Amino acid sequence: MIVKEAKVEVMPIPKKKSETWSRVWYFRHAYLFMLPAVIWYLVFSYYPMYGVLIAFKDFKYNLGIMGSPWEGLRFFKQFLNDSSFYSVLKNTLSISGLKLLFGFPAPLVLALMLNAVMRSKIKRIFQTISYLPHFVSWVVVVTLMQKILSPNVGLVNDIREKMGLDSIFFMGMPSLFYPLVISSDIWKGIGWGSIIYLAALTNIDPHLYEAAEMDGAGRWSKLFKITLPTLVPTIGILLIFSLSGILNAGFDQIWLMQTPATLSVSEILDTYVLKTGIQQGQFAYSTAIGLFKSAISLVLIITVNKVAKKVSDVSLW
Amino acid sequence: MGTRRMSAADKIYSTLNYTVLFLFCLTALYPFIYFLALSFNDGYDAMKGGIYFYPRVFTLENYSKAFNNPQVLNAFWISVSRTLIVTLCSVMLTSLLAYGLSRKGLPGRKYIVFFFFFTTLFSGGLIPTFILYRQIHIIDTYWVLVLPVLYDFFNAIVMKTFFDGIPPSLSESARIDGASELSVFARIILPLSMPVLATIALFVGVGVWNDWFTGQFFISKENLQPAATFLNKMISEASFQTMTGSGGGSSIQNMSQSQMELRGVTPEALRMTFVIIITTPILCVYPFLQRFFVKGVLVGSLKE
Amino acid sequence: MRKTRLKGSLGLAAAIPLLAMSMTACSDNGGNNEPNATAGNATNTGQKEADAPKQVTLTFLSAWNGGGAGFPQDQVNNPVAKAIREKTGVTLKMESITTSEVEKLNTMFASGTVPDIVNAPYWSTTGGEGQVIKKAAMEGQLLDLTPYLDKYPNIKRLITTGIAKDFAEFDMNSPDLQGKQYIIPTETPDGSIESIHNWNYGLFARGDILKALNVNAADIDTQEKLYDLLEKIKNGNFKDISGKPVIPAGTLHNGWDSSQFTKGWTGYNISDFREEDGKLNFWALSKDEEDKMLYLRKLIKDGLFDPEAFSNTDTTAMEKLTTGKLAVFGAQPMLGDLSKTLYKTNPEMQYELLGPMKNKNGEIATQVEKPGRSGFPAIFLSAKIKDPDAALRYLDFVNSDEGRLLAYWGIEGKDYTMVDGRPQWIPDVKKQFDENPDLKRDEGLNFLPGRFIGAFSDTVTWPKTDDQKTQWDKLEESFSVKMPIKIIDKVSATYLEREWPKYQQFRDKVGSFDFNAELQKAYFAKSDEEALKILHNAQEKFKDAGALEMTEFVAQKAAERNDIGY
Repeated sequence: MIVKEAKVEVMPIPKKKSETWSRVWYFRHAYLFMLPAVIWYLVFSYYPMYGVLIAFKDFKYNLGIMGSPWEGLRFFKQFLNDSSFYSVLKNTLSISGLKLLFGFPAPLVLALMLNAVMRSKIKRIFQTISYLPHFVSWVVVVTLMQKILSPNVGLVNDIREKMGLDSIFFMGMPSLFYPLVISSDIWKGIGWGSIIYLAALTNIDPHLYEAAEMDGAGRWSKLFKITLPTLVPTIGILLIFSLSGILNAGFDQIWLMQTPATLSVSEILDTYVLKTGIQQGQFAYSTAIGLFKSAISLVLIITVNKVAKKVSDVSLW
Repeated sequence: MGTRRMSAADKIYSTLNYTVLFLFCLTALYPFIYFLALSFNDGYDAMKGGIYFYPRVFTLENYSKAFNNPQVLNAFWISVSRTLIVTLCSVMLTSLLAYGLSRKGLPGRKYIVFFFFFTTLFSGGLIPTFILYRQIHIIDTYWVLVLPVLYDFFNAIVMKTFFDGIPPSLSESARIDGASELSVFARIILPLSMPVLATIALFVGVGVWNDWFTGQFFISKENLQPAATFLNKMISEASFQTMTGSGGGSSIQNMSQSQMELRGVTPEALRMTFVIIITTPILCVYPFLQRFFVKGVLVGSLKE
Repeated sequence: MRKTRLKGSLGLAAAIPLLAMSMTACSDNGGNNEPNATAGNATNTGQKEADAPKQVTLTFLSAWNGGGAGFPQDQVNNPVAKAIREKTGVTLKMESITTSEVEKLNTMFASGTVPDIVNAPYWSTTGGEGQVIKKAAMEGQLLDLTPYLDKYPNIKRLITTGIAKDFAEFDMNSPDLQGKQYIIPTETPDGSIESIHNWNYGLFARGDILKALNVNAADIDTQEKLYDLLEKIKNGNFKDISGKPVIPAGTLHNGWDSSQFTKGWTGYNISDFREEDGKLNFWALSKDEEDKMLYLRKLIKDGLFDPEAFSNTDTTAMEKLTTGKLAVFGAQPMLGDLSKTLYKTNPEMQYELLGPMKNKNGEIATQVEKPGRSGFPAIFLSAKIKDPDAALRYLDFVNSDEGRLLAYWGIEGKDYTMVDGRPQWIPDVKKQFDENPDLKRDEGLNFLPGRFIGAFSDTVTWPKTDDQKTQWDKLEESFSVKMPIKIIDKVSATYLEREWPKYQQFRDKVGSFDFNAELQKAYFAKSDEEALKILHNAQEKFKDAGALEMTEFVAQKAAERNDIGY
């Protein structure tokens, strides 16, 4: 298998702890390469992080974030005690979960399908068209959806009426909300998401396929024994990143697609925070919720990473 | 690839494959035909709906309004230069980072990865960021368009994953031959990684090209604003005008009067035009990048 | 060979940033619009050196999303700006935003980067932008204008005219501000009743449909009659311009304004409270809410009301409006959009005002106003402004008679002439402006009205003569005649809420509660029982937060004053 590393190292890497500094010296160039990144992240990411303190403070402009009086967990309490908290959380997780279940494999499937196209010119055309939806903002996509599904002049209902059926207000049906959200999300992201997989697929030596054929392997065998295993690291990494975003069910899209009739299932964390944070301390309140989300994601990722390490050799750290 | 005979099953799968892809591409393509049609249609006529494939009342007003402003050329120049510079720098820097991370046996790698990954979860927010930019004096300068977007850890991880798949024996043999680390990186790793470099270049490039927020929030100088910011501003202002015109705020008659005659360029029409304008350049660039999506020169470089 | 290739690409990579840097240096010099050159011009117009006012450039922010729409392309040398500079020496460098106003304000105050002059929304100080601005004032970010007011009489007038009494008492001069003045209201009426703008909200029905049904628009003035009309429309097989069936009733974007359909259950109110059965009641707890909800529910259930109404985007709303798809809609007359589309192609479909509807006291349901505005675009100055007199000089001049003529009409002799003491457009100029509105903007005639000028009404000061009015002007006026504004010159009881000791807790619990969203859920509930349950649950929320006690408190407090209105 090409993926596993060759065990032979020509230059001896010091193994014992007492020789750690020798190891560090051995890898000095690697550290050097990473140094600009470390500096950049310290400046642009870590330094501004004190801003999360807004979530705990009674922020006063003239005192700055550091100088403002401490409020403690007031905003968190306010949020957790809110009667809608649980239903909002449930909706958020449901949508994220469904997007993971159906939306995550979709770009992979598309990549495999595109890869099976023999004529490279056609493949390129298909590929380019497939990621066009990525460039369209959600405002435009949802407007388009509303037009097609409109109970008044929508395409779908037009056809229904011609068939003698009643027109349905699709976007007002709670049972349809999740399917619509998932499918529009897939439609929009599938092409762009497949690019990574396509890049990874180029790594596979075509001779492998030929050799496998000569051994009598069929199409599915090739898929499961050659193609997919090569993609496992990529899939693993993308999965981990997707999981870290599980509390973000897609604010822009959901905000636009909500209708009053579907609010019981369509109110997610971010839309709810926006609506309720309007009152005093909007900034502090939404920062607190953001912090809450990040903390949960962190715990999740650490867990997933541990599991991944045990189960496979793909992990983040 | 040698010649193969296609079995009947192969033919069926192939046809199925083509069909599904074709149908999907139709749905992906159609909205753009729709936007194209709307962007060439008079905005007020478009309000009535019913336009699906081609403009009903053809007009170049929407494009004219977008390009009428002498600033627009400058805005595009800013966008193009920004995209080129950031893409080049970011891909280089990120690949260095990814390569460093991918070195097997690197002491402390766990902690280093965590150090970077942590930043993808936690952020200080807009206010401290704004204060930071002020403190390092990049507000309202070209630098604010470049510096804050140089790294994205997701890209680094993608690259690292790719580098992990390159057999270390290749770099090892180069090291034995006395090559420096930089040399190994530049002459062995990079040429083999063209697909992932092209991919990240695409991600970074598109992300930066479409970013309108930075130019809006951190830059006041009009001649430093990129195209995306500029076009976005035009749409907001058109919306604002129609809102205040038909009763959202100002009651001044004179203002409403001129609003009433926006000449067929509605905010909606502008939005459509914007999508076309901002997307077309990317579509032209991608075929150029596709060249790199071929497998790296792996085969034949080693006698396995 | 390879090494040089590497060096080559590294060299290229280094060259590009250098190129970029040199480019910004160039654009810095090129874009320098400082009026140092024009300072010379100002003095060359014949004024003596000693008389020429000090040349100052100030920064101005229009903190409205898209508010830069009115800015002329040349901010420094457009005719209006030039004229103002001659008089005051001040040039404004203007910018605006395309993101959320609150976000911009917060960032600005938190980072201490407040521009010299800012115009921002100021609706109420208990939430949103108003609250942020008030907080900024209390925390030293804004300039206290009190010491300057006597020097600048026009500004003083702006601070005291056209503002609702209660808003002034509680928001502008709230005790927290310790008697200091930070805000200059703009876009306010001039103190006369005529200057209060009538928005003409109402129900509008397609003229040709009314004619076909032989219905007189003015007859539809009760909820029952409205229902009957809508039913008739549904059964009447009417079509829009594309031949598709009409929707009997609907609204524009996001359900604006569905409340027009339930006016029969309103009174003339300026506060959160209703006088019912001799007692005071909190608005959400009134029985009217039930009746209103059930009525609208019935309309929806019986297919008389557009189910999409509440999720209409601007686009879909406009589409319905301009194709005549809504037989009856509730909003403003929308003449701006209709005159350019539907009324051109199908003038017979012109919408007529229904009713107006009678409210529960038998009076016409119409716009209720206090004799001043409660909330407006407001100007404030940065506490760190280097030359406050320059800023105030500018604002004071713009709000003088001379300044206002300049702001609205431009240069006398070039853009307008005075006829009988009133300005009139020079016909060629007007034609140019009508054909190309950008010309008017670039002349400098769009950026001052509304954002810099207050306590003023151009319609009152420069009324149009009959032949100057377009047919649409006259149509709007006809609506206003049928629905004259009801003026209630009292202090709204809502402000007394703030004096209740448990007010903060009340706000914490329900300040962000979206009652409207609950109502909408109720409209679409599966059954009337469920709908009522949703409504009652929502009402319970208010009760739990203490609405009843608060109402009692307010009733008591109100009795201590003689100027409280509900």
